[in-house]
Amino acid sequence: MKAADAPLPVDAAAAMVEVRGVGKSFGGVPAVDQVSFTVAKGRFLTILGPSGSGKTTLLRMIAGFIEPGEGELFIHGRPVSAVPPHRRSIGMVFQRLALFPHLTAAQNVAYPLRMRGFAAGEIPGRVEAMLKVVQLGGLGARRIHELSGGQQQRVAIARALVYQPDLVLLDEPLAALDRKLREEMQLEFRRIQQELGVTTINVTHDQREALVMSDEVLVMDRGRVQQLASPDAAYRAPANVFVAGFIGVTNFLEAVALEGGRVRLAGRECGCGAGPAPLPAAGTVLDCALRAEHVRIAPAGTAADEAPLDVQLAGVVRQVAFEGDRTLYEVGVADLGNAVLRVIDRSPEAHLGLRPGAVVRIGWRARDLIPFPR
Amino acid sequence: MIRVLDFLESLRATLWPRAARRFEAAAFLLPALLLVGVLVLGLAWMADASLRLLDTETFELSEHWTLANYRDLLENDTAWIVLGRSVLGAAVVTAVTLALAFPYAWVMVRTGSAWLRKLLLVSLFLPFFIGQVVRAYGWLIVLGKEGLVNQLLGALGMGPFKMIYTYGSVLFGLVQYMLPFAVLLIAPAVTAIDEEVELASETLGAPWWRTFLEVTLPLARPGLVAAAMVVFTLALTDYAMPVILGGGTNDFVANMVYDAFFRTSDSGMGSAVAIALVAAATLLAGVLLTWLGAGTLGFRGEAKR
Ligand SMILES: Nc1ncnc2c1ncn2[C@@H]1O[C@H](COP(=O)(O)OP(=O)(O)OP(=O)(O)O)[C@@H](O)[C@H]1O
Ligand SMILES: [Mg+2]
Repeated sequence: MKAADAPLPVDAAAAMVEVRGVGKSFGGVPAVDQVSFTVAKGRFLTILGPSGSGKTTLLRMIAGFIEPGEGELFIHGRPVSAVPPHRRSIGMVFQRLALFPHLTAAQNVAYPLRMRGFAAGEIPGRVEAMLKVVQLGGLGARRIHELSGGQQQRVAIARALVYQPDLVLLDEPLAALDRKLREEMQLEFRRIQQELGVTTINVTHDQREALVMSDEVLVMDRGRVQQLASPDAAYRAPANVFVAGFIGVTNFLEAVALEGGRVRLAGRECGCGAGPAPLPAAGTVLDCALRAEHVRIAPAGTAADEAPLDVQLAGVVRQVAFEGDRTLYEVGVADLGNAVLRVIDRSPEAHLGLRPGAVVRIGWRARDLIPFPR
Repeated sequence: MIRVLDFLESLRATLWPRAARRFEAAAFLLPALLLVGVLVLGLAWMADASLRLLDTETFELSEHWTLANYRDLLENDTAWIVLGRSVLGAAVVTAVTLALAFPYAWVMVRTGSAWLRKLLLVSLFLPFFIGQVVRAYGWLIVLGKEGLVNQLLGALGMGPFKMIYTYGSVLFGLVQYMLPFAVLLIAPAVTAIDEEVELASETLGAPWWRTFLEVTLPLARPGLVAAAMVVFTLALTDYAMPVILGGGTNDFVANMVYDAFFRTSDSGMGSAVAIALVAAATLLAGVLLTWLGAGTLGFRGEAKR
């Protein structure tokens, strides 16, 4: 319960959800460990983490299906540990949608209104309006199994939003869709969320989804919060090695801290960017993160890059993966002790093609090398 | 080796030409069709016998057809009482059995404890190994005038109560007998319900009992309809429980059939009662199915997503 006394980053009065030192163990193994954060009204928070990091467990504690082992949850400033799920003002979209197969789309959307005692007369109007918001106008009479996957998704979203809950929880509802539809629904949900201004907590292990949809990203690993930041900050200024490695394609290089904000990397001295903490005393071992898209690549012998690169090395292409809008290279670099660097190239020359075995020049700017003390 | 297979394949092709392929599926139905055929033959024989009157001198059935047996049956008050008792009993047994079986199946499927699940499964199957007749005699021992319950109550200065040879004891025995069938038919239907759907109902504002009424029950309907059909028809046509626990005072239709065949040796009247029972059971099952909708047996798999 130590975390309960810690100062909160956001004004508690404005917080729609506050999670304070919440933890849960299964059989002595912590699934969620001392998690604290707040979500302000109308904001969209994504909980991002690898499989088994405790995302679903955390979400289910907020929904009220699992009782926290420790800590306290507040919704709208009220502690909710004694409030059963059906009395919490929460709309949840489940991973498998959990629509009612014996009801029509409109009846699914009407269900929460009936359960929450809305006047019978106003229910059809609200359902109709909500179906319009999710662009399902006119399909209300269809049975669930008569709708496509994307349309079912919209029904699930409509059902969770129609009674204007304080909070909407999404447990990877888009994970099962094919990529194109998933990306469409991400933008679609974001549009609806902003239109209605509903506070939302989304769970995903898809970093792209987290960056695209959210106001804030909460990165979790092994039950613990690794970072809570805007998508931009989570990407540009990762709080630790885990976050740096989980978001984006990242190389890690071992280095040693020197005086004056410089590091020694494979025997050569070079500059580096700002890490989450000031550079430690000279001699300390560091892990430096270098994003694949921050490494420039060019065939050996071509003219110098227009951008001034602080470090330039020779390398040999090992692998080429053409991904359409970009090409991912794996480059062996002799000067880095034969380390293999992953490099993403988005420039048009990429399509000219560097074959495995080609000798290349690679380089990066000092500020893109982010040091993390071990 | 390959040669042999090739030979077998060509042999198969000659003996069982491609064109016959589409009958393959039908071929698997043959045993079932045979069984039904035998049943229909038996029914036809009984229908024939039911139209012949017993000559009480020679104990032979008449040569000519007559509706006399059915007329006697319609005018026989006892027959109507027995039919009414059977139908009412079957209905009550069905309702009570389903009411008990559904929670049982639900807990068995949904419990998080593997231990409890096993216990429930074993206690479900154990009575199967014992058989209906032995179980009925077991109840006689437990509920009889000198039975365990009355001895216990006697020790407390109460009773003795008459608990066997009553309508209640017959129904009690039937419910106990039907429970495993009902649970086994309902359990798969409950298993097919995605637990998340129930959780969803809760987040949408439904307390547990509304979730039960509005979501769980409708989704388990295929299992409930199947269980209702089986329990109702089995109870309606039951023989052993009324004999043993009713002791001749609470006969069902099947007991009447038995009496006619083997007590009065009137196979004509016995057949008439039997045909009447088949007709009544078919009619009631038909009404039940139409009322609940045959589609709800889940054959069309519309509950799937
Ligand atoms: N009911 C449970 N009983 C025992 N252990 C559980 C239970 N639920 C979750 N766990 C464990 O807790 C940890 C976190 O699980 P959780 O489902 O929250 O992960 P997740 O982040 O949602 O993963 P995924 O992305 O795969 O869904 C896992 O190690 C899991 O095995
Ligand atoms: Mg999960």
